[in-house]
Amino acid sequence: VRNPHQLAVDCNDDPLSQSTQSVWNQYFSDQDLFAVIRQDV
Amino acid sequence: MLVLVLGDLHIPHRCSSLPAKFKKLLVPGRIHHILATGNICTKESYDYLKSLANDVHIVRGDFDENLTYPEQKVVTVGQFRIGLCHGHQVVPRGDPEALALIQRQLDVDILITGHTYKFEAYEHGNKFYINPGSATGAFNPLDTNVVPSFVLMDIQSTTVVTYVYQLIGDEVKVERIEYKKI
Repeated sequence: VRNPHQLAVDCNDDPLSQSTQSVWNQYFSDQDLFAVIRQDV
Repeated sequence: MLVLVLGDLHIPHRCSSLPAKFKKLLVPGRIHHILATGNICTKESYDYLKSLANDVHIVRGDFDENLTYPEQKVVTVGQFRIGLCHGHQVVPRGDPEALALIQRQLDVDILITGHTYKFEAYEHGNKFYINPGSATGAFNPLDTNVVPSFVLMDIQSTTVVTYVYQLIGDEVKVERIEYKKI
């Protein structure tokens, strides 16, 4: 998972962003996916 | 650690609900803590906040139904002591020196107040002051054109990155402000 804190986040990005290009949005959907995988395994 | 800061909702007295664009952004599961500056007014609003995050801290505003909320509160997040106070006790309202007095009384790194319905974030004497404004853009007796706004703090060890969400016209504008603890 790419952590938004370790990346040079560009100024247009924010933690609540719903944009598909958002690093934060990607991060949270990855987290959700991992939670599901952990549950299933 | 993501901390949502908002207040002065005045639902249902001055506004029916949060702006739809804000509601869309506030997704459950992303936010860890909520700090509310008061005047959320009803239990329904409290329940809504509770649905966004488990940990909700509220201080009492002058229009809150629930009289058991404390006047002031100190919450520690990471290495930061964060003071919370509605601000109707501060005279004149939103005055930096009067707020600095509360900051010293509570001995906090960040002081969050509301009541002015105007977003503000500034450093004063190496301490950080935040006023999230009104999340619904509720009117107040001095100003009927209030810009709805709230604040999201991203706390990482000794740094706070503050994101400000303002609904200007029909669009949500986001600003970024950084504060480092010395």
